[in-house]
Amino acid sequence: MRLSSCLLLSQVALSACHVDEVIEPAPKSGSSTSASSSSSGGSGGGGAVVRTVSVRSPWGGPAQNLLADGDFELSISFDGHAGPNSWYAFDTMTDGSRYLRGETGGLCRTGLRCAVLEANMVLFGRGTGGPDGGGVDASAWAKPPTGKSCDVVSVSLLDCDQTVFSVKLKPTAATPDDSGWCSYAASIAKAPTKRCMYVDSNLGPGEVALFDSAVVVASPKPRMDVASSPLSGESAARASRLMRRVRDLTPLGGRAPLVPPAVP
Amino acid sequence: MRGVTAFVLAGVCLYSGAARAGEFDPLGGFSFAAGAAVTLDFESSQLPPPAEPLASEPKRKAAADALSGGWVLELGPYEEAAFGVALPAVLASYRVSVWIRGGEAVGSIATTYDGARRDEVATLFPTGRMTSDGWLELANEHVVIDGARGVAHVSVFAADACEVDAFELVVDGTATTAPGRACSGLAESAVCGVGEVCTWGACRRVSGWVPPIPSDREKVTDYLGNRIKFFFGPYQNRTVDLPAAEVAIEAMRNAHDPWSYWNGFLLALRRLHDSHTSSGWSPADYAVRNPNPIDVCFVEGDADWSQNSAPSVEGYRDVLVSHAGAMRTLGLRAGDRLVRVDGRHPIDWARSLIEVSWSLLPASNHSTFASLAASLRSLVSRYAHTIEVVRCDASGCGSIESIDITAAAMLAPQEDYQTGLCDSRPSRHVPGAPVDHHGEDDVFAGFLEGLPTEERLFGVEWDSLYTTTGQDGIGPALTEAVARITNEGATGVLLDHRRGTGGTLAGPQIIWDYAVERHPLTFFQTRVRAEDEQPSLASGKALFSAALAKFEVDEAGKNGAAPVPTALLITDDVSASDWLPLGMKGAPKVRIFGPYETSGAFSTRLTFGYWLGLNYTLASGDSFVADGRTLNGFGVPPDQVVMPKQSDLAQGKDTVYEAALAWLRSQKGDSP
Repeated sequence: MRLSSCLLLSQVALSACHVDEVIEPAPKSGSSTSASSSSSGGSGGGGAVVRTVSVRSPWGGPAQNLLADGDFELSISFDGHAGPNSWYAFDTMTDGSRYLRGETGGLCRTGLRCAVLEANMVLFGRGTGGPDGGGVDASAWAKPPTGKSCDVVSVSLLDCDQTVFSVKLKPTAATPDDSGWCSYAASIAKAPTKRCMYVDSNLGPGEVALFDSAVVVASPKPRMDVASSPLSGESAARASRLMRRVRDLTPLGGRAPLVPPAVP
Repeated sequence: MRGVTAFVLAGVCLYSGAARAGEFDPLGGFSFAAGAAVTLDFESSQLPPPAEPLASEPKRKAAADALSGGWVLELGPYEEAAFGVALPAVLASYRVSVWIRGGEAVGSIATTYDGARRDEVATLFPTGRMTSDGWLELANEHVVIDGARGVAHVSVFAADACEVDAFELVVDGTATTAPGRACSGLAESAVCGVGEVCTWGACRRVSGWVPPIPSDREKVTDYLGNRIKFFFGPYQNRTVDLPAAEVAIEAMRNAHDPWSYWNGFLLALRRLHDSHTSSGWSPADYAVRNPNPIDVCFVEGDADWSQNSAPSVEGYRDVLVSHAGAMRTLGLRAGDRLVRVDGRHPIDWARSLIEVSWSLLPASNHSTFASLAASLRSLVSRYAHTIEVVRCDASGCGSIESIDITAAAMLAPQEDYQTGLCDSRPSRHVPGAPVDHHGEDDVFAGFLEGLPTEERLFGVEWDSLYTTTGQDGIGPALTEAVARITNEGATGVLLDHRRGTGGTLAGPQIIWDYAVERHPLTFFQTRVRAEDEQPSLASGKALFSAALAKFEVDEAGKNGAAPVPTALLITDDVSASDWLPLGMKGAPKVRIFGPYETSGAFSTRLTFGYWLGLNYTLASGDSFVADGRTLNGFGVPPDQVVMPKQSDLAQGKDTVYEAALAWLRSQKGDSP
């Protein structure tokens, strides 16, 4: 049996990123994986720059991230194969599962992997709760299509099991920064249950946005005071349905009815 | 940009000095390392042929933004490129690297010393080096290859479409010991060096299975340790096993070599002692074929015929030969006994392999070892030097005999041998079930063989419970088998699920709907907070009640179920195959037979995957029952404890089956 055939028998996944990457002089290769990011290229000599080179940690982080894999470093799998399940992708038209495509390398904000958010797709990222139900700071980054503003992507923090609690992460700017990325952030003073991330968009047909560097960390003093802006209407209803889908999709998901059975 | 690309195309070496790998100039142009032993940038349409030719040649395409030269290899989804490497005829240590772009891919380099069989494999992992135009470096370090004896070939397999460029082999150190030196089992691994493990009688470099130690090891160690601390869900296993796992995590901080570091993390996972929690697999598990397969399957049982020569060991059950194949059996047959492996009780010895064996899968409970017994065949082949056995026949047993596993005749390099399943079934009893135990994921059903037709006792033998809708996986076949019980007028049914590989709750539901009245079963909850401790019975009960009110409790069965007497046989199981007996336990016409409780794997999985080489899975939660208990770590006990007996096996009898058959016959009057 060829190795490739064997590999297909197993699940896969990929890499991601550190949030504390720094820019340093050109890296030398050949040693162990570098923790911090560094880049080179374009800083000297004549001629046009072909490319810049950077080194990033491929393992994900930060260590205290309450999301299972906020960097997507270990969350991308083969299309058509069950695999990593830190993140789920769903179709908003059918509520059915979709393949979560990954982007690689320097195109991502941090690390080696990030998610490709497509039109009519939502992402659901699994997480856990902070110590003693205290506050959390949440942040994430998205790279909208050229010419689109940051609000084309919507990021929310939910109770993993119900939409009774939800809060939207606010874009920190209306338009992307110089690198094309938008950041989103929110803080919660109390988070008594586990928190998951829900990502929606207004992308048009054929448009994609990159999504990366999602972080939820416990914070005794939440860094900003953000008024709760819960999901509502169809968004809340869809999120609720998809939470149940997540439950059903886990390898031993429940079989309980979506709605109470009719009383005879 | 194109101008500089052309500059690179000219192949000018811009880096001088003792480069250990290809480098980039200030403008981002790439050049191979000076003095690289092998470079390949696919400028030629002729690739060095691999040891195993591919069905189709890898496709090249011209690319102005190739990393090196003007051509790249182009791979579609699930496509592989493979090529041979012309090695210098010396023993050397290499850094091996290749660059990919545009999608997920995994690289590896395999070495063959006997001309046919892969002896060693090193996986190329992402180093973190990347470019703004999308190139990623995959590499591994200190890959020791003896070019005087062997040949190497490289494989790049694309999960998604991708481009490949700039393969390079650079000497990165001196190798003092040749790979593949002879050794005699894991217990004598001292002859092997750092990053080597004695496997199949040779020191094999397992360091190639893992990436280098991250230079930010403290951060990475914290992050990995927190994945376990934050997300591993089962309460009992956290209480009992998490402390030992945390010791392994702490040891990572002082590990001196990549194998010790990464195997330390995977050891932490194995120490969690849970059937859903696995430390993944290595490419070598698939790419390196077992040169010394043993086709003998073992079960735990009662060695009633050999207690005088080999008394049972306290704390462990006896280990017996369940069945054997046609060849490569060491002369063992059903009823023979495996007394010791390298001087230890077989299960004790197998448990000790937790330090090195990535595929070791324990039960979630802490007292049964069915899966280890079933794994002994491959574990002995891989890691043992000497085994001690007692041979028996229909008239009795002999004395203890020693067998040198490393002296067994290896397969010829081109030879292959397929072993049957170790399925905890000494014999098969349903029409169509393979007597040689080859084949799995099938459902075999029909009236039990060898019985008078008028008895009308129906049997179903199957392993998997995987179906997501009832219409996929095992669903249709299992549904049909269950329908036949009624349609064909069975008066009793024997469900042989002694090898239960799990699945989803939709799998056991097919059986439950036939056999039991609808009733609430479990409430599954993924872990809420890292610091959560085992809930009290009262709080667990309240949680279950609240979930019941919200229709979040999983239910088993169907109103109006009217089964014939049903015997369920269990031995080696996981997950949905735990839930199956849980849902049937206590039902009026059901009786469960087996040697001991089930695994107790009442969770689901949270799976992480890393570049096809370091995948791992954590049990993500725990299941509550109505009285407030959590179930993970506690199996479902059989209604009738039946241990396979050596005397039965030696005489061709299947103890557990015979007990179930006797009960079914005793229930004749209860049939509808």
